[in-house]
Amino acid sequence: MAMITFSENHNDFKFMAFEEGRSLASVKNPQEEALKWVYSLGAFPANHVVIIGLGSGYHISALVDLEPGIKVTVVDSRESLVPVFRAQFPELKDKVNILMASNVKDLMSSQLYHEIIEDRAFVISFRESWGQQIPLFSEFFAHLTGRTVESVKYHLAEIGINIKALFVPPQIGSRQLWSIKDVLPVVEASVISEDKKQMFRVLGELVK
Amino acid sequence: MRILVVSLLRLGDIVQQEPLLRGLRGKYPNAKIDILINNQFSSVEKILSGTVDRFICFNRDLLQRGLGESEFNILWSYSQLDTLVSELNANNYNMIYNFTHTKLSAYLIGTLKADEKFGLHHEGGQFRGLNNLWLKYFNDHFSGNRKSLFHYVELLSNSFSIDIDSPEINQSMMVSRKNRQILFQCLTSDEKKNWGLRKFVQLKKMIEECLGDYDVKILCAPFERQRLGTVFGEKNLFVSDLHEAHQHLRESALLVTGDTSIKHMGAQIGIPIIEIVLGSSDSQKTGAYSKNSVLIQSQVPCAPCTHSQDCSQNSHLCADDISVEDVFALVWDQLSGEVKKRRMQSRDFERVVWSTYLNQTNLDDEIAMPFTIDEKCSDLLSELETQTKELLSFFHRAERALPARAHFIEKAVLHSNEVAELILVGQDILRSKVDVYGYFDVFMDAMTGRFSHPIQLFDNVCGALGKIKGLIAIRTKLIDQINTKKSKKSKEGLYYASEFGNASVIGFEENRRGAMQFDEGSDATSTNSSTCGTTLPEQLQHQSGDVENIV
Repeated sequence: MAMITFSENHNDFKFMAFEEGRSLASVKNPQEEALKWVYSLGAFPANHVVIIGLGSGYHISALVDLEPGIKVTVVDSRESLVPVFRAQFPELKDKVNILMASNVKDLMSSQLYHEIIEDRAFVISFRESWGQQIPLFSEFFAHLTGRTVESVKYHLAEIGINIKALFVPPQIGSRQLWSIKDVLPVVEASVISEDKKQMFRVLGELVK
Repeated sequence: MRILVVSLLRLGDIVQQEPLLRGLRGKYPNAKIDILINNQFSSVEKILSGTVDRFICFNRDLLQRGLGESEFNILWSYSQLDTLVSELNANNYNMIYNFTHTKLSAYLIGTLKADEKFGLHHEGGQFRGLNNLWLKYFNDHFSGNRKSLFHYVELLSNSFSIDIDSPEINQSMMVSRKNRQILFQCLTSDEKKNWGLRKFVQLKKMIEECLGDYDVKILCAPFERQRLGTVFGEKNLFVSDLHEAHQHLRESALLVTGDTSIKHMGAQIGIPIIEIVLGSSDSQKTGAYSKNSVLIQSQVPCAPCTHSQDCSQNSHLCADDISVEDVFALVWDQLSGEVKKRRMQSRDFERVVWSTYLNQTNLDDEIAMPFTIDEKCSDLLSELETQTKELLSFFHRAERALPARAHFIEKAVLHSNEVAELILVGQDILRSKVDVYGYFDVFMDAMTGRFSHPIQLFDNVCGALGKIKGLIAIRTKLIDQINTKKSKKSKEGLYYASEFGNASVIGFEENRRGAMQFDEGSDATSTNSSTCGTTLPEQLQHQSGDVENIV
């Protein structure tokens, strides 16, 4: 696990988080950086937003500030960030859920993960806060959006397709995200109601 | 009763459907009619008010975002669609009409519950609705480069038996002739359909110099303001949204436009229109559907070009081919209300043949001819007779070239040399270019279509030949019918001419107006005897009028 350290920000006297000596937010103006990031996201298409990367927490504060009605969940693997975040942003206590997972197995076995999937949550990343965790957080991203083999199986079970083995198309390597196009042949070959198949056919037309 | 109309097309298409929606309202006056449209065109609600009860939006963009952007859950769009389908099904529709005719709409209708579904829809693993001959024609001739004899609105109206010609429907088409404002819609959504701003400036100047009473204004959307403002000056612009543009059209005497949704709005209002047909525009299929519309079209060989592709020429040939003077001449005609004389054309004849076939009219009865006949049709008739002979000859060749059914049953695999003669016939038909209106399209489709067993090829070709035979039979009967009428009229003319001593038949023709009005099957106004004498009912007249003005 990489070393997490904190240093005081002279603008607002809050602590900035560093991983292996690299800041997890802009050192010069973290508030402005966070606001720009939130504005760049546009309107959210879901009521539940998942942010991958806790970092120094400025981006989470900015998002809750600008989108007060949205349910926010933060996923991270660095537990030492949590107490500092809670201490610095006490007003977010009831507004932000934090899911700590050190690997994909932990992530998928948590109750919060199932909520995220059921809500079809919108998953966003504040890449500056990822630090050294890029490979792990990329995996988290794929699982949280339902775009890995395991999560696709989970989703298909949810709509009544129970498969033990999923044919992985050759173009889908382990690092690529699944898309609806990859799911369509599986749905077509499955024994589910014609109505559900028709819905996937509509989606298939939309991605042509 | 509750009806859902699925119209997941672009803005112009939705506006164009207005007479169909009014017709549907006329057909089911007590029904509650909902329409499903793409949400990006929801502004159409303001200009189609009164035609339907409720506009429901299909958020296509967001669904596509959900499918294309990795931040969305893989099934996010599925959930959204599921919600929409549940909401629609909760309305318990009795009937669903598909005005869209795409696979997307067919699948979507497949998810919906209704007592009756009209138009293309997917059910039980296959597409349905194509047993309707009009819809099949629409399916076969509308997309791609094939020619269509019928307009989009006509095809849907016939497919769904929706009357679009009733007086109630045409009531909205009233524009005061006192209006003294001419509108230009200079820009289209596709650069190759634009005539050129320089030419529009010249046309404006010419109109204002020659027709002092008229004031020319430029319609533009807010995003076009800067581009048009620098050319025409800000004071000449009507920067409008859809609803405001509708109001401006109502207050104008004429619209000069390219292929835009504004032209469909103009057609809906009934304002005289000059449509400049350029690039990939196909006026026969989707021109302004109005009897007050004329079009001007280049005859350069590359036109119409393929949709969604850049112009392949070094210069914009089709636009260059249409001069400012040409368009001004039409402006003059339109404002003066002059009705141009027109001659019967082969297209009018073909329309009767195809509509007789598509309506499955009994051939024992006389075929209704929505035009009058006189001796001056002779050239066209002899041309049609020659074409019929050629078509018949190809038909007989194809019939002879098709091996017996038994030959196909025995085969597991079919080699092309076993149907070589049939392929040669197909090639000869294509090479001859005699089949302009697609009599043999179904034969070509059968020959090039996929089959899992050779017998399917035989059945498909047989079915195609049966259809072609039917079409040629109608064609032959119609020519006979025209010939009979022509000779009857000729004798009639001579009989009356004899009453005037030595008056010549030609001299008598000048007074034949009254006789022509009694022509069977014609409810149209009489024509000047110096023309071919073809008059068409209102429905056909506007389209044929378009042809008259082709440059």
